[in-house]
Amino acid sequence: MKAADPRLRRVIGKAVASWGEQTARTRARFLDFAWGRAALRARKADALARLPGLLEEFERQAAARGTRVHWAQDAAEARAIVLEVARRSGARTAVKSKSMVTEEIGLNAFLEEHGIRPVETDLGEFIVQLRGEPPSHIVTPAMHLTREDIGRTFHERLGVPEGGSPEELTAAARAALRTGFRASDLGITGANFLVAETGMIAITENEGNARLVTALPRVHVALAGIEKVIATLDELALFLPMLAVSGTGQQLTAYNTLIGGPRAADEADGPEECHVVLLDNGRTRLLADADARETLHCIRCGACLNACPVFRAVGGHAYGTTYQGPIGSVITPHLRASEGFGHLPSASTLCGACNEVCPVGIDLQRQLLRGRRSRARAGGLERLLLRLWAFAAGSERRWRAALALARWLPLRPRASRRDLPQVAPESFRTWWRKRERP
Amino acid sequence: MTSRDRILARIRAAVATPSPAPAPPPPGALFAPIPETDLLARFEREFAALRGTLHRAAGWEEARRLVAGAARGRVALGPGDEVASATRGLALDAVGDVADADLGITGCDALVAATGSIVLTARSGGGRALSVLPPAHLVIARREQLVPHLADAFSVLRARHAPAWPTLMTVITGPSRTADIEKVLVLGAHGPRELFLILVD
Repeated sequence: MKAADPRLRRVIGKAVASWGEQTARTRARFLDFAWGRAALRARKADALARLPGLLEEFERQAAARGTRVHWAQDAAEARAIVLEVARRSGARTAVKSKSMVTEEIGLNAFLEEHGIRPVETDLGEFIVQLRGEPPSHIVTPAMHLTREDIGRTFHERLGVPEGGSPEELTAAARAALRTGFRASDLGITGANFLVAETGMIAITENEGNARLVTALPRVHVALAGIEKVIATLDELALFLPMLAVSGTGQQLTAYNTLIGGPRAADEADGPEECHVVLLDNGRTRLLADADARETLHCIRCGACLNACPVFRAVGGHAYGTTYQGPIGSVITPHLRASEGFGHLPSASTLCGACNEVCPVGIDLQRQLLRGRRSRARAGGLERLLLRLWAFAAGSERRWRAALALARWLPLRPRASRRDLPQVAPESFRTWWRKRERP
Repeated sequence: MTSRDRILARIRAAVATPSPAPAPPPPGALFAPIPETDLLARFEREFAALRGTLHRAAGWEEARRLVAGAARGRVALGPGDEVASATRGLALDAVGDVADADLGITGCDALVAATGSIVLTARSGGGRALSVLPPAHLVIARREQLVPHLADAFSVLRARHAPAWPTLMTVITGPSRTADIEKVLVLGAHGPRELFLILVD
């Protein structure tokens, strides 16, 4: 994955600058963002401490309103549940609104393998799906692309003229997706919150596609991590504005929707069936580590990505993960423990910008340090090299000998993610001595 | 043992080790209080900034005139006294299927001054699609439906509906929008490009 690309850096730089301005402007209109952060941190900590009871309450309330609640231990189980629901619905296509959990479990590829075509309807997700790319940002999936890139993709895939403005490209996507909402038997969404008290799922969006996905198809299935549950409906009055200001700089996004089951007898429309899949997939590992537990407070606003100088420099794809940036770097090594993402906490400058913007008060800086420490404890080549370095740097004689040696060694490791600088042919001291004597 | 039992058992085992509870925040608020006398002005400001179009009507007769002026093409009507009072006697081209409508007209449950939001449900909104599928949405609301903050709107919803909640409740804050392409704001991504509100005193 290419990590140094000046063009990418410009595109992302523009996007995060715009986010920064809007977020700062809206934060200034709030009476006390810091209070909001402290309040949400306390509420999330409390919800996690009471997680078994809240999930059971959610299940009870949702079931009472006709929602079928499923539990999935891992990605494979979640995929199988969705496939079973899809097969029984008879759906050939499924319209989807934005869901990072479905990215996490690789749902789209799996459904395609089984003859069901998933159609992303969020504009950014639609764009990256057409290009066969993963999202590069958990909130703004097409952040790495310019209007020209998108215009070319739409030209090739939808046959619209090249060189369209953002308005024209958005209209083209709207037109292309319009019929799909009604033609699909299955709608798939994520959930921003699960409300235990009322058994409802809450979905935050701007486009209205999630509302259509939950209104028109005959069957609705929502997927959510187990950490998404909150105790009461009223708490949303805090969570929703804090999420909006941190994610996009809005006071509230255009649509904050609560879905509480299939269409009721006295209602005009809505799906006949409603399913919620509660996903573990490594989350209980994070929960079991009392020091790492706070990372489950995350409400996926994406602010720490935007604030991170490393993310700004390399973009989301360089991480190779579903969740990018500081939060991705601390949770991915746990969520995908067997796949070796332990190096990610090193992709950080520890500048603390992520802590400053986090709306739920996760101490990301500390979590990144913990990630580094646990990797260092695990040992490996890095540890050996640092020991060698420490030995060499311990005395001037050894240091000079090491440098002399380094000049002779081919220090260009194969398949490295970055270039190692060459050791200069002569040291500064040698050069200086020569220069002093005419 | 089912997956449900396994997951719940893992969670119980995990939270048996408590993590240090964060200090509860001191009394505070996210939004400054809005004096009753400023409610309407604040709502008007927020709604305009979101690119919503607000008309005020002194009574139902004026409301009907405003609806007649705003109505275009085929219209889908939601239920409720407000919609009935604001459309009575008007020659609207009403359609049965929401998908054919150029304009959806609904009532609402509450208006939120702090954020310029309209709160509606599957009951006040005539189901799920009527307020989001047509390219334009017109809301009829009474002045008394205006509350200061989102928390107050949740109280209204609770008082009106609990425990028989509608299966859809949504907080609408401006017309449908996206900024997924180079952060440029575009209205009418998938939902209505135009949002009108007629506020009846």
